Amino acid sequence: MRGAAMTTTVEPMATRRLVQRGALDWLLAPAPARRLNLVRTLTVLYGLVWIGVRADHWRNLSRLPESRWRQVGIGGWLAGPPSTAAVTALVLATFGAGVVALGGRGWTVCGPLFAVGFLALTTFGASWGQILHTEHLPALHLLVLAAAPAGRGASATTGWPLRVMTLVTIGTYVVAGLAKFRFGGGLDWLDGDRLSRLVAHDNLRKRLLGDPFAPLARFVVGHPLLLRVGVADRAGRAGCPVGGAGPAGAGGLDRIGLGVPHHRAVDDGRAVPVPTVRHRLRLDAARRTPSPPTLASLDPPAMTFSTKDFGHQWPKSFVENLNRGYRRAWWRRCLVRRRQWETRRRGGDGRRRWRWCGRCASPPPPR
Amino acid sequence: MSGFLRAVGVRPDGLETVLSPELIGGTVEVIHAAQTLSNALRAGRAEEMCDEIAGRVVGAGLDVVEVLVVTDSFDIVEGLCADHPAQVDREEHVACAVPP
Repeated sequence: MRGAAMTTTVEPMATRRLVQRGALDWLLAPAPARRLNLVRTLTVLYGLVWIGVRADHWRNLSRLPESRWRQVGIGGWLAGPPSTAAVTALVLATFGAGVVALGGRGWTVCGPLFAVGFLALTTFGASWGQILHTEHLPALHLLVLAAAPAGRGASATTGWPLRVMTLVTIGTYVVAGLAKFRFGGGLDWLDGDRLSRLVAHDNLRKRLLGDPFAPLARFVVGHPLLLRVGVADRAGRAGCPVGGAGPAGAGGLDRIGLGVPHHRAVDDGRAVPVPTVRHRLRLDAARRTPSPPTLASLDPPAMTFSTKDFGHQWPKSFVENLNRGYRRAWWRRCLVRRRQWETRRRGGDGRRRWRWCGRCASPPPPR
Repeated sequence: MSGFLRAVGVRPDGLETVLSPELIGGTVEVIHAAQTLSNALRAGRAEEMCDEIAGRVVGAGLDVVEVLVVTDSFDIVEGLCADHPAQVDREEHVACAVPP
């Protein structure tokens, strides 16, 4: 019997809570401590190199007349520009804190000191009439890392700093891309003409002022096609949160908990299988217990999809694929939950163990 | 066509010499020097800026008798690709003498 497509009976508030919880789960999902340590090391190293390169410039700025002081950011509370000696002391102290932090010792003290010092130095540099946007992102990243744990095997708390840094990066480039379109020439960016003029203007200005300019600038400006390819960079920046999803968007949505299976139906824009949302609500209710997962909570749900859930207009192969994908996702969560439980029980060494828990009805399907 | 705000020095023989960003803005940053000139011009402090540049020229020991703050117009693509950028137009904002 043919029937009409199912309509959702899930309340909007429940769906909203589901999305919020899914976003929170994504943000707080654990990550290996070594990954955070690596990111921290690279970021601090970048900051140290930047301080070394810009130290002379900052000291030169401190010798400028006070009439050119245009304080911004956290420098707003200063009565006037700091002296050269104060700037030099700040550079040395920040650099020292960064060197100690780079070695991984005393991060809880040196990390915030380095982050605040870097912020103070870059704010000072931006308070003389030129704001260098390339300094903003490292300063924000260092502040996030300063608030992050030391990352010694605490894998349950080392995931959110990396994701917050990702969000900060995405937000920065989205704002930059939108600003380019809004204030920097609009749709002229799309044909490469705007970019061509910008590259030519910047390099000619350096040449006229006696500064070295990019050796490839002449070649690039003479070949507009290269700059049209560069337009993809602008589109990519502005569309970063959307483009970052792309063809894997449905898979990404699955990871943040919407439970949408990655299937051609979703990419084609057809209706989302409604029973998926209902299953997620049941699973979340079972997952709210604060204690470690019990055997019952690790068992997969008894109900799986059938053609009756969707009506007979959907092919049987689609339902089979849906069941297979959903079970695979369920096994993956089961294994993750068991790994988390064992990690906590064994003192949190963070080692990754993937194995079948042995309590589910059948082994996981082959990949 | 685009205008470039810059400061040039005039030698005793009348020839012009390009002043570096360090003499213009006090630092080696090109954009900072350009932005300094632009801010000064917009704020009506062009003469004060010119005197400041002249003071740095004296400190650098250059053979310059006068400092001009000008806006020179160039065809940016042709100017970049040419061996010697050809100036199309000039607008002089302020001139000041370099103290001996």
